[in-house]
Amino acid sequence: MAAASRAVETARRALPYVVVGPPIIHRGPAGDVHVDLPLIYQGFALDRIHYDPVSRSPSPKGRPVHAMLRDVDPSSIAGEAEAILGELRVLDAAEYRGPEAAWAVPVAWRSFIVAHIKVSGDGGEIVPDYGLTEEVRRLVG
Amino acid sequence: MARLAARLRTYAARERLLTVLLVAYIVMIPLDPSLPRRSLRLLEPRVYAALVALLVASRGLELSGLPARAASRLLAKLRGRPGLLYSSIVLAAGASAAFMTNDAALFVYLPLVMSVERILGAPLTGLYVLVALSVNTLSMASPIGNPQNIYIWQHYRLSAAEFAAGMAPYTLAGLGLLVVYTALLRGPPARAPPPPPVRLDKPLAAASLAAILGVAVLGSLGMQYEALLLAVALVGVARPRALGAVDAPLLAVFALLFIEFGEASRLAASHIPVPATPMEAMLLAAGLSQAVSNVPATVLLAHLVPRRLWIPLAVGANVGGAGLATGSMANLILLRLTRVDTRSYHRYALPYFAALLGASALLLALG
Repeated sequence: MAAASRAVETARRALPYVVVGPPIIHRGPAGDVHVDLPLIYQGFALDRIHYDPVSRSPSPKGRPVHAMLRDVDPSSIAGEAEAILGELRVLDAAEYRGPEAAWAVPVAWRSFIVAHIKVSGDGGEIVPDYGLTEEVRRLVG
Repeated sequence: MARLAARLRTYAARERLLTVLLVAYIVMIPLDPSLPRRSLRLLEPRVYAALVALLVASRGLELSGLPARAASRLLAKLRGRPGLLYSSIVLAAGASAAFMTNDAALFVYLPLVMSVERILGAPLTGLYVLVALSVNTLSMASPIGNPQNIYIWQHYRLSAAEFAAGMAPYTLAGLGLLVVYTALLRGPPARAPPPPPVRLDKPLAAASLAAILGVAVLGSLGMQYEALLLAVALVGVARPRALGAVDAPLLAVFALLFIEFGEASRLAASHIPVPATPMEAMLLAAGLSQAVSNVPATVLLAHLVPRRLWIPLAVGANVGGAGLATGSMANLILLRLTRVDTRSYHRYALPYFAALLGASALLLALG
């Protein structure tokens, strides 16, 4: 499975160039707030990191935090987002996703996985999350 | 009901410009009940069709990954030579804008600068601002470089070649200034390994490039509806999701801008002095762009400025985009996407604006 190793290496080479996009803040009908930090690479979103605005730290992938807060200031998250980004690391294994013909390489923050970087089946190219790219674009454009 | 109201509030907060324009349209109706009936004519459907066609083609190109790969290649090749890297980023961003619109080029090159900034660990405020100034300035080279150019190209029924030839001296003046500015940027070499490429969607890239070429040719022949059909067909067949990615609220914003500023032009016709000389037209366009941004300024003035003055109008609107942050939507994208603040933007942009306006005035006086 040379392609898997190559995919991990590609994700590892991409990570230093990944930046955090503008925070995506969702407000639920019950007044809850849910914050995601999009990971951006070369203008395309790769995945989102769930962010806990109360503990001001990431939440594991698959466990978004719905905090009961009146408001969240996006600019206050920027500094923490940079710190989180600096602590991300690519794990040494990949999962193959058949329908997308791509490898999903896990990205961890401290002891848990927070995101995936998708890499093409041959392990050489980064595969964007087009839906999330649109969502980020709508926030800025 | 409460949930619907909450959703509408959220949408209105997200789409602030669209909401303001929609409210303004509703407020204008009692002042002139004939407005809804005249809206289609004010929209200038042929001009609008050309704009939509270009936005479809440009979005397809952006999503194909082709511009991102080109930008990434620059970084891979020149990351050890900062001076050359910065100049190449600034000039490549401007050159891309001439083919895929200024805003789309910003969405490719600003993230690239963000990546460079991250691997260097040093702020690159000057480079961010120069990328924005470059897409605003060099996009004036072609009729498809930005929305105000498309408007002028179609409103005055110019050919693409006529437009490009008319704008060439002013574009070259802007290019010269950008080269001088970028030569002043300094920074350490990047030591990270080259970035891997983003996946290239070849069918979408080919379809979008063909659509952009088709829009330029058909738009010049007065076949704007055919251009729109061609762009939608090519991009839609290559990748249907790319059509869904076209910014629908932005299209609505442009439609309302065309209608409302067209109407404002009619109402203001007796109050605004109609520019009689090229210099007056350029200065009025550049000045008005600072107040209401360059696309609305162009729509408002195009109804008042005669065809013989289309060059100073286009020059003024394009140069005006490089002035105050309000001068162009591209500047607002810069401020929202990056950590550049308004004050830092103006510190770089205003001297550049003054120099470019001076050079353009000199060229107008000579020409």
